[in-house]
Amino acid sequence: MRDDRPSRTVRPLGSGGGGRKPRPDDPRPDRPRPRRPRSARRGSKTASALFWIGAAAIIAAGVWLLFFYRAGERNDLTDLDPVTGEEAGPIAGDRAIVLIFPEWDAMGYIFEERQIPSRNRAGEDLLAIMTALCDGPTISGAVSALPRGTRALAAFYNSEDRSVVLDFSVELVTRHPGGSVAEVATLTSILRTVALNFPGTEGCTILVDGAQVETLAGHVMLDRPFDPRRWL
Amino acid sequence: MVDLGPMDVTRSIDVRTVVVDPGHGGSDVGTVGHNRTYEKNVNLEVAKRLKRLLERQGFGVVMTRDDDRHVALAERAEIANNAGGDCFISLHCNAWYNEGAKGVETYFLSPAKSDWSQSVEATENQAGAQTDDVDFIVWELVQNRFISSSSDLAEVVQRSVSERLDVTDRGVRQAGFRVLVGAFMPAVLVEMGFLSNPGEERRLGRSSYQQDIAEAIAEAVVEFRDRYNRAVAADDADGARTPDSRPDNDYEYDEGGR
Repeated sequence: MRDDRPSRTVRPLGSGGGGRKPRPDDPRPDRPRPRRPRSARRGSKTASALFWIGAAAIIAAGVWLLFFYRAGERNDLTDLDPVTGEEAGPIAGDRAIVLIFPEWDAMGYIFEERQIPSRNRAGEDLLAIMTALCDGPTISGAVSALPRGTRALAAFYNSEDRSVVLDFSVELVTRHPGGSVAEVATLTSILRTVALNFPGTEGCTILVDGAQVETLAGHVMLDRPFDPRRWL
Repeated sequence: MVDLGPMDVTRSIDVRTVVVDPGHGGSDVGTVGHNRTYEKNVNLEVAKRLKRLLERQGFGVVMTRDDDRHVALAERAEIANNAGGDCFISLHCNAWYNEGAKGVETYFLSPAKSDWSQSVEATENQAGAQTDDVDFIVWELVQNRFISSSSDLAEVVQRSVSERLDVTDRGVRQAGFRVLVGAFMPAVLVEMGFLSNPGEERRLGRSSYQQDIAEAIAEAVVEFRDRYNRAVAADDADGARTPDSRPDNDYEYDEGGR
């Protein structure tokens, strides 16, 4: 039986108008293709555009709703454990910490006690403590031993071998004033704080922007882990 | 692998050759004062003056650098050992986060094992240490035999400089500075003043002040030599000569740092 219905033409998007191209296996190569009126073709284009716009809007709305739904569930999207990357649990309570800062004239060290909210996750607490060191002291007579602008980028605590890895931003080196006393003070502030807040830590590796550096200011090698217990 | 040079653990201290180490150099400028005084330049100027003064006193002097070039920290100890140095003096300028800190301080190596060697031992226990790691531990243990004489040298230098220059005496301190590890001889690091303090920066930039510092250190080296020569002579008379003969020891002697 002969099919007189017009054949369907699939046209790639953006290919423009034009008639149907005959194919070698087309049984009706010479049959003229019926043309729809110009107004009908214009209406079809508009409908197609509306369809794609609508689809894009629906997808965007879905992503937006999903994002905020999950955010609402967790309250804070940044609440991830810095060690495992897993979603952190609720705040367990305040943790008392001790920060070590040098005296303003570099003649000794002063400790400052603070409280930080904690989920009892070592890596998270360690990062908060190092961030507090970067922010500097609130007590008078002390100064920060970390150069201005230094940020604690990451902190990792390995309970198996009692080691920690600390990663600071490049300002730790680029803005360091140099000099033996400043270099020793920076290391003492960091390592003594680690030793006091995480007793028994046996190794501490200090990285700068994720990489090892030879020294902070040309005196003490940083290419190996420190033993924080020896800096007490 | 770092060649730390010849090792003779049985020798006594007879100060004839002094190794003078101007800190930093080349691309490593050290600390920089507010008025652009570069630490590497001050260190080198004082070192050159110290060399001339010591040679006048009859010492042989070896410099780890005599121009503006970078010398690696490990290489400085290697130079000292290969030269057969009898004491090692590293010259530096200090810096702090504000202008408040000032004065002179002298460091010698911490007597206990350094973090470095401890970490190497940990590595050794886990997977076997590299040859240069083991060599380095041996050298550090040897260097620890000179801890007490290093403390003496530091004490003499600190007193001489702070008294002669009428500056704040920040005292003798200990630290695990890499440049001091591996030098098989009494070794100290002198921080001659703070470039972060405007007043001290001006003084450190003056040639007359640089000469004063050099003279104070030279006097200290002479005193150190004389004290040890007397002690060695006394030990020889008693037949009890030790690798680290010294007149009196206020610091607990650390046998190999263990």
